[in-house]
Amino acid sequence: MRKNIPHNLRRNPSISLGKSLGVLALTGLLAACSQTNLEASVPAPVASAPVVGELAQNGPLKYIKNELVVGYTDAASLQAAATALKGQVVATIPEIKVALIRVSGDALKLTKGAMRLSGVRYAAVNDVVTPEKPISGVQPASLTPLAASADQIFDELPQYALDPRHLNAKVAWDTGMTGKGVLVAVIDDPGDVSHPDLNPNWAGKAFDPLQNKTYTNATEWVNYFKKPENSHGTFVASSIVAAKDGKGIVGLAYEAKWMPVVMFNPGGYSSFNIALGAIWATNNGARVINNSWGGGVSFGPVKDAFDYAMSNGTTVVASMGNSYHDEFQYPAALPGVMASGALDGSNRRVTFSTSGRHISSSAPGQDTLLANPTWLWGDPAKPETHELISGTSFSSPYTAAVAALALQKCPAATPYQVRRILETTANGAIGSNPTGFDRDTGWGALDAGKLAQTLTDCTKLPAKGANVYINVKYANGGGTQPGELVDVILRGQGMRAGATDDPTPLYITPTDAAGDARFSEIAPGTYDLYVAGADLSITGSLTEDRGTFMGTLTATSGSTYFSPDRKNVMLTANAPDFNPVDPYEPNDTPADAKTIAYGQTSQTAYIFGKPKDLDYFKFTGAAGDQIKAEMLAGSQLGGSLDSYLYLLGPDGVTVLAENDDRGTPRIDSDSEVNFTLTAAGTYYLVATSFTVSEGQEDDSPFNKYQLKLTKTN
Amino acid sequence: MALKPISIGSALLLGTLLMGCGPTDPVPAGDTTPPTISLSASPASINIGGTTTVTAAATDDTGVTKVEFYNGTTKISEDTTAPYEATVTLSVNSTITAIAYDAADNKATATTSVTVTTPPAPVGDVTAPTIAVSASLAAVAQGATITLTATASDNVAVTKVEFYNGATKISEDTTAPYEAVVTVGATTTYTATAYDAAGNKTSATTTVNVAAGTGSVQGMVVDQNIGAPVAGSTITVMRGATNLGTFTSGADGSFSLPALAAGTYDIKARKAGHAGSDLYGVVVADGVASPVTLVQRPAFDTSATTNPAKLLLTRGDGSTPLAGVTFNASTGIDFKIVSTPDSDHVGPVRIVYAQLGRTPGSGGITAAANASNYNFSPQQNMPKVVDSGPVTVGTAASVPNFTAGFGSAAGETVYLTVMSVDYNYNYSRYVVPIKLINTSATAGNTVEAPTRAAATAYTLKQEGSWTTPYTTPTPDAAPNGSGVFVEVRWCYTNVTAAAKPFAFDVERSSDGTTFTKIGTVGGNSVATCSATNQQTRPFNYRDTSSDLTVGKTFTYRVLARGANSVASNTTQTTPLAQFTPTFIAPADESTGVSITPTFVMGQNQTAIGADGAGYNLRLRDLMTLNGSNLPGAAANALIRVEEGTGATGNAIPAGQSLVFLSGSSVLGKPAAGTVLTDTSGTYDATKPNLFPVDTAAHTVSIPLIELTGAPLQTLRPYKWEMYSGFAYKYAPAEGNRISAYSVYTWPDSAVAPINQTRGTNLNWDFITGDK
Repeated sequence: MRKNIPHNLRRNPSISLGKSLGVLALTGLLAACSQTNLEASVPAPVASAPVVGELAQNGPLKYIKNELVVGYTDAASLQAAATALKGQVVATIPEIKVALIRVSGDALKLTKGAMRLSGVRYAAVNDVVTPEKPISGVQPASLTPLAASADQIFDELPQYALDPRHLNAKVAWDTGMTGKGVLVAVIDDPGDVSHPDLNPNWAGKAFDPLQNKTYTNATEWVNYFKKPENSHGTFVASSIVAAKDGKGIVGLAYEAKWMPVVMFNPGGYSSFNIALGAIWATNNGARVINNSWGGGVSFGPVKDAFDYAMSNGTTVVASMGNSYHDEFQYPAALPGVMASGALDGSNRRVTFSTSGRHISSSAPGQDTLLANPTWLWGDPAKPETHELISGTSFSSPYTAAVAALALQKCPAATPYQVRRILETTANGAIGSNPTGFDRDTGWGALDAGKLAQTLTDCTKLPAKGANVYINVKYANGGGTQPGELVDVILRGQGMRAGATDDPTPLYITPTDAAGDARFSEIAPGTYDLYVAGADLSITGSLTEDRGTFMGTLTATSGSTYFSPDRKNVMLTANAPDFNPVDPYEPNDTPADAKTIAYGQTSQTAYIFGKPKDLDYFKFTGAAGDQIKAEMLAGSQLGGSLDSYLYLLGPDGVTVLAENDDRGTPRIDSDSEVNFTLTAAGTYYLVATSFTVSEGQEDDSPFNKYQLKLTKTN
Repeated sequence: MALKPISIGSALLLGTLLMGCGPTDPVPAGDTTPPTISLSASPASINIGGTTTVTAAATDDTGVTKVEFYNGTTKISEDTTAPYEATVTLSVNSTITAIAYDAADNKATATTSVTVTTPPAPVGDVTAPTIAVSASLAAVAQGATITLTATASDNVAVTKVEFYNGATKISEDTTAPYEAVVTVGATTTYTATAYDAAGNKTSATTTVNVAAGTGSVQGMVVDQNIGAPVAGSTITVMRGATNLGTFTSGADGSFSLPALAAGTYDIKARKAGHAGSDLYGVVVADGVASPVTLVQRPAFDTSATTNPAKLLLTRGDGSTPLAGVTFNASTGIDFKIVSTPDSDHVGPVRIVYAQLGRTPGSGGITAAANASNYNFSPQQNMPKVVDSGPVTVGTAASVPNFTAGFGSAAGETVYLTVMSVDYNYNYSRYVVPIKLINTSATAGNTVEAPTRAAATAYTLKQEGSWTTPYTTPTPDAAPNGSGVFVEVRWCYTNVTAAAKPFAFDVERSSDGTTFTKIGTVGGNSVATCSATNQQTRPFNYRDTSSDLTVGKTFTYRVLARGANSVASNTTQTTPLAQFTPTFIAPADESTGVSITPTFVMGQNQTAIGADGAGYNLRLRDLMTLNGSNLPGAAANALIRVEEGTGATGNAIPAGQSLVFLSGSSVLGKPAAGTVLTDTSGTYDATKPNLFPVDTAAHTVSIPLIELTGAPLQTLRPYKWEMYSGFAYKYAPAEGNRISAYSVYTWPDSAVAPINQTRGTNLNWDFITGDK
């Protein structure tokens, strides 16, 4: 899958204000906003510690500076790509043919070039996401008897979340549904496998993708990971697997086994490593993966890894988010992922729980009592073994636990069937729609007891879901090319736009460099299919260059990743040109400068083809000539270039004037130089990018510009 | 939902897609045939107070879905399965009606009569019934509601019991237990009279005492600090251990205890679905109306107890009672807060606060310069136990501002409020009188007037938060005064030691003439004082009184106090009603949207009395989640829309409009070059109209290309979001500062000018067309 890279290579985004507005005092007001950052909505912000490998930042995008994530077709082409990039392959995930290449430059600059290499499906920076952090309802906390009812005590401490008015655990347990035989993986910060409430149900394996190391010794794991910031993963795991032993709390699936997989320590791991963790979990037998985190778009390695997991029968659960808003957050909104919302003690949606039509169901997520890691217990005389905590981070693992109960009963259930049996046995009377689905609470409050009473045998499972595979090609005068940088949208037919009680799905994904898009474990049905490419925000082409296709697709129950519902789409458009020709090259020195005359605008040229491209142009002028030289770049032409323009004197060296951002009206990505010549002679204009002017590399096939020279007097 | 059956043709699959549609069976189209029904009662004749069973025979061509039974116009019950029956107890002749329905809502009606007879009296029954009557409380506060209960018996049968207040009949009851509910005015003797069929009767009386006084309590119940009213809450009034009766809060959350004898009272509020709220130590003085506000949040878990924590408040030694103790501000106030052994709250207690001179609460709402509260979260591993240990506050080492502004050389009676919030959000609040000696030198200073006092009302959308459960209010709830607080800010720039005030007293008037003190904070001085940015003036106080009502003008002033007391300028604010902007186009989740769309928003700013609204919109590409805030990244980079409110408002003529961009936290008039629409030419003589405003429909249209200069992509999903949105009102008489805000959504309380976060907002998606 293609990862969409924000091409904010300019410092400020382009704005062209239209001449009628005149001068607007908007300098500095406009800025690109980032991919979703859940941290912003959470009252207690998290300070991220640096990950191994220096972090770089480009606008809102945070990534590991020297690491390039590459999708490859075979081992030979991977090696060839590494050589061409002068880098070294440091890790691979062969299951999804993704590799991590360490390079010496800034990876962001190399992605475009890398995409041109044969055998490379996609190339992207190794971006870093920020975790969603929970809020403690009470500080500090370890507590014994909480509240009113005896039916809230299962081990020692009261847990309202499991009582008959909430998850209704006892009815399920009494039928023998305890999660026995099911492995659950928790991708999170490192959970405390030594906690007395968790150790009995630890599966004996724990994985750190960053070190690519599987731990089997609890002491070794705890000694490596016991930082005060690491606690979230312990809370999350305890709601699923806390042991039923008369002490502490009990997990909803108290006979399931758990494997922690690290993605925060405490700074967030990169997409590559999250994907590696999910692959490891699948390969080591996890039937459910819990993801109480969110941020970024998840297309690329993470989606590939979740598709792999689902193709192997593993259910993927994620929290909706704590943003207060009705919006897509990832990975919750990925096709096939079961997204969980949070409820308070009275089964109302908690105000901060993100809503949207992609929500599956809800579970308690406010002031739930969960296990605190041993390294935070404090005074040994009064250890704080458990704590109250809130967030959709905690409704998600309860959901994973109910999924584990279903899988114990029916191990052959597919992820979609697991999701649907949970949804159809949930209490739909809650939320804004008292008779069923609503965007606040999904299909309702999960009810493990009702699940047990309904799923008496596996013929009661709902119908299987669908798996869709779409391949896109560009068709034009040059033949057909793989449809990379294409958007694919599946919009369920019959969708009632804007209705809060309509569960009809909407799925979106970009294609990878092979033009492939996959939708795993989605609702069967008929969909409107919208396909369009290329992504103009990357290529900078014009609206008319974007090809579009509208059609329909039928997703059939029982189609699989390996026998998917398939559609081939041809877009009549040019493929993005990853190898444009600059008509003026070679023009990298004054000697090779190409002539430009007053009143002339050059053809489209490119800052491309070498790491620090400088394009020289020359013109002849007379003393007293007032000249204006403009570089039309990202803003006026589209594309990725944040231009920089120099005016050199006749010696080809002395800088007479230079400009980064043109002034009136202000356009940050384009440049303009005004000057009055003092003597007759040949002068030089040097076109390049701002990044190159700062000494960095900037080599992109989308760095296009035109040079325009005018005499203004 | 309009689903297309899928090509596979599997009913199971169709059923899967229909899951969300609700449990009703599909109805054959066009059924207009009503059911048939007949009704009979058995027995058809009963004695007074007896029961009978009515049975309906009902059939329908498509099936009877239910039969409803009525006694006259009162519904008795309904039955959805045959045989369709109801049982009813009667004391007079009655007509029972049954209505049968089918799935298409066709219906049919049948009736039957039931005769109720009084059993014949034995010839010559001259034996009267016996009766005794008592009241639920023997002594109550005036206006309380009590229940009279009579027990009566007769050798034949008691036919009814009538209840009288003197000669006025209150009610009668024909079935045991015989009860009447009365609201007690003055001390009253009530009479209950039992009758038998022969007309024999006997009476009994009971007296309910009211020790009325000239003091009173004006109460309000709200669902959170600055919250919406809680109607129908049962208010119990106690003096010591004596229950003085119950009252009920009205639709506006208010209740009144109109005539109380001087003394100290405790007040408790309970309502199903809400946490409990107990207030101990309300002081009632002769001739004084004491305002009281109780907070009853929605309960965290409605099945848990609503009893708040019971606290014992002593001095730090753990034994000396706190009430009436004299403290010296130089050594601070010491106390110890513990829960009583019989406290029946829902553990653990979340937080305990203590403060002088006001009800404490979370800093976001109650914070003030030079005033602080004490708070702690109790030891959690013994959740039934609250124990602060010995605490001293008001010293340099511990909450130095605790006593700032309070006390006098001779000793002043001040009130210490201690408040606990338990796991279920039950509140208990204790008001304890103490005497405070404060010999601060500043109490002897000659002070001058504070300057540049500015009062600004904030109306905030009601919603829950991380720590506040919230139930969506009914759509027609007009929460008058809910969500409103007023922040008063001022300066005092004379930094010489001799002029430093001991305290600032904040006063409020609702008629502009009579002022009442509403709060006190410690005195101080700071040399700087912004003339234009009221938000940065160094001193402030937040008035969270539930008296603050929308549309009413409140006048504030601040008095500096030393040996003398000098008032600042007066400043006025009129709280606005709730601002509720809407998105109109492109419609949520629409397709085929233009790649150069015009965003249309609806607004109610004129209806709520505002002079303008500010918006920050965020447009995101859903494939990348990249996008821009329009017109700028900060929440206070705003598109300002003003519909003309004339010379007393925004200086735009009525019917005309102004749209401009601003980026300062101080909302002023448009800077040159920022005007997008100016139909009256007030700021831009060319009368631009780039963002047209329809002042009749109250909409504003924003062509995206004017803000971004570039079209969107075809067949691409996007989201537009109201990142910030609020309305505001100018005060032309006070230098055109903003005197009121009404906030719909605001992402960050740290970004001026809005100091509260309101996280929920509007998010709409759309997909562009293919051209």
